[in-house]
Parts: sequence; C-alpha cells; structure tokens
Amino acid sequence: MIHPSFKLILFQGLLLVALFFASWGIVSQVHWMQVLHIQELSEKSEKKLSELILSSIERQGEEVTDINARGALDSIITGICTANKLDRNKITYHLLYNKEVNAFALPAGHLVIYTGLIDAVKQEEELDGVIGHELAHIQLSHVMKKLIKEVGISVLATIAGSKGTEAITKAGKILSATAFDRVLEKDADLTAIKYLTNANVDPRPFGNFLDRLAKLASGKASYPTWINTHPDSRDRAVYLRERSKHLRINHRKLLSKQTWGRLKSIKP
Amino acid sequence: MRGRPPFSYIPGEHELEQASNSYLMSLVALIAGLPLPIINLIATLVFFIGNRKGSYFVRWHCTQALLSQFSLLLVNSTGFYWTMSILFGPVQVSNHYIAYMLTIILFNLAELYATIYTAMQVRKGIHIAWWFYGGLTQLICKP
Repeated sequence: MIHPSFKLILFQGLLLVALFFASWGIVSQVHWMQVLHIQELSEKSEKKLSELILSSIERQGEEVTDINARGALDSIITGICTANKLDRNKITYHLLYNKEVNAFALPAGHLVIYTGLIDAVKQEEELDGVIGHELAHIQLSHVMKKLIKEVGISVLATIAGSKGTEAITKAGKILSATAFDRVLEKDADLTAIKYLTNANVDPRPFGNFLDRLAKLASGKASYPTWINTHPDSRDRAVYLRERSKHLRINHRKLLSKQTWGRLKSIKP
Repeated sequence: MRGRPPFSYIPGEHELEQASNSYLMSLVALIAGLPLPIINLIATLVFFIGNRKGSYFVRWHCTQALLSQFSLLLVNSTGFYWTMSILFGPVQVSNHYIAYMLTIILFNLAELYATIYTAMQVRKGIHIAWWFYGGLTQLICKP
C-alpha cells in the first residue's frame, strides 16, 4: 500500500487553491462589464422602464411649474450631489402636486417628490434628509433590485418592451407605496447621513422628522405614505440620532431663508 | 490522474459497478443541484453512507467522489450567495463577480469531465486517483 506523504497532499491542495485564485485573477483582467454591454443594456432598459412608470404616476398629480419652488429643490439636490461627487446630470426630479407625504426613487435616476412632503417638513434639513435618503436608493441601485424582487425580471422585460399596462401600474405602485427591505433601508439611511455630513447639513432633524411622522401615524387611521413605505421609523430615528451624535459639522443650510420660504409656500 | 492501484486484490464486477456509480451519483445530482450546490454533496454523502460497509475498492472511490464535492460546494456556495446578494441585497454586479462565475463554471466543467472519465475507467476496472483528492482519500480510507 502506497501512502502519500501529508506534506505532498498539503502542497497539492495549496496548488489547487492557488490555481483557482490565479484563474479568477486572469479572467478578471477582461473588462466583462464592457464586453457584455451590461452597463449599457441596463441603462437603456431602466430609462424605458422609468418613462413608462413615470407616465402612470404623473396621472396622480400635476407637475409643479413654479420656477422658485423648482429652483429651490434643484439647489438642494445639486448641493448634496456636488458635496458627494455624485453625477448631478444623472438625477431628474419631479415635483408633483399631491397631498400624500411621500417621495420615492424610480429607475434611471428619477426622483419624485410630492408637495405633501414639502408641506409636512418643518425645517430644510428634514427635507434634505429625505432627499439624501432617496438619492442613496438611486446611487446604490436599490430601485431595480426592489423591482426585480417584487415584480420579477421577466415582467420587467415585458414592461421595457412597452407591453403590459397592468404591470406598469403595478411597478409604479411598488415603487411609490411599498417598502424596501430593512437592509436596503438602513443602507440608504446611513448613506444619507454621509451625504448630509459631506454637505455640512445637520442630519439630526432627519431623525426627528421620522419620529414625528411615526407619532403622527400612531394617532391616525391612515398613515402618511412615506412612513407606510418606510416602516420601523422609530428604530430608524434612534440609530440616525445615535450616528449623528458624534459628528462634528460646521452646519449650514443649502437654501437661503427666502428660497426656503418660497418652497414652503407651495401648497399641495 | 491515473495512479498505481492501492489494492492488493482485483475488484469483482459488482464492485466496479458500485464504485463507478459513486461518481455517477454526483453527476445525476448535478442536474438538480445546479441552483443549490449542497444537493450534490448530500447525494454523494447518501451514497457514501450507503456503501460505508462495502469493499475497500467501493469505499475508496465513494470517498474520493465525496471529497471532490467539498471544494466544489465551497466555490459554488460562494457563487450562489454572491448572486443572491446581487439580486436581493446591496451588492452590485461587478467585473470580479462575472469573472468569478466564469471561473467556477470552468472548474465545474473540469470536474464534470473528470467525473465522467473516472466513472467510465473505474467501470472498466482501471483505478483512477485524482490529483490531491486521491492522496487525501488514501489517508482517510483504510482497508
């Protein structure tokens, strides 16, 4: 009976592991994302998907045309994007007349904000926090992940092919009225704190806003939609405050008092 | 891959069939196990347990088939977990992910070829000891 030495087996095993990692390293040298046009394909289908969902959502509220209000919102988004080196040109916002306290992200960098939310916030930083949170969902590609999970990739392909009005409405409802899962929400919250901190905006009012909405929700039969789509708001407010406690920021506001006043004057 | 036979006897026809089946077992399970890598291992483990009182030749090949599944389980499970994290978690598709998936496909194909080849050779009575797994089997499996 021939017994191979333990050292030889160990050597062979290590060589096998090395072969695996070397193969992975070599295959990684090819730019697969470019070769397979993955980025390009997903951008095209996301754009198409977003246009269709947006057209279904825009039926629920007219777009705000007030230049002052739009300018104010644009300043907040640009301020956060610039401070965090995010591509501002990839974000398109839509300010819609709607009494619901809601804001949500759509594929291809579209951000929808209802006037109900503007009305519900008490200070600019609260709105900055919600916008930062939704921008984080966009930047971290949470929107497509949520759609794939809830609707399924085959249905999304049908929508992108301009078929299935029911599926478009369903996708719109999922993005505007249902929650992301807990991991993605926390991910977006923590990223929002980072965004606000980099923009020298105090993130604490964002936590206070969540708390206030949660209290408001507990006293009413109908929840403000943003709370409905962002459950566990009290827990989130706690960890948001905890994370913000030790931050040293030279607080500033992204809008002047006057501009903020103009934005707040928009009634849902 | 072809090694010196560690057996002091010539295995009978029934033993050759059983030993060859241990490789085929992992092959059949591969079809069901593609989305869930653990299925391959479970199938081979069940066959291994079923033959643990078999002759040395049968036990030896069942052990080699089982051991070869462990490393595949490891790399395939990583690929499975990575894919799930992309679909449902915060992870994004990257060049490293695509390269990893291609590498595990290559390794799975190599293992598939080796399994089919070994099953055929063992059925003919030719002993096959794999690189690393053969030596490891020799250490674990006693006559």
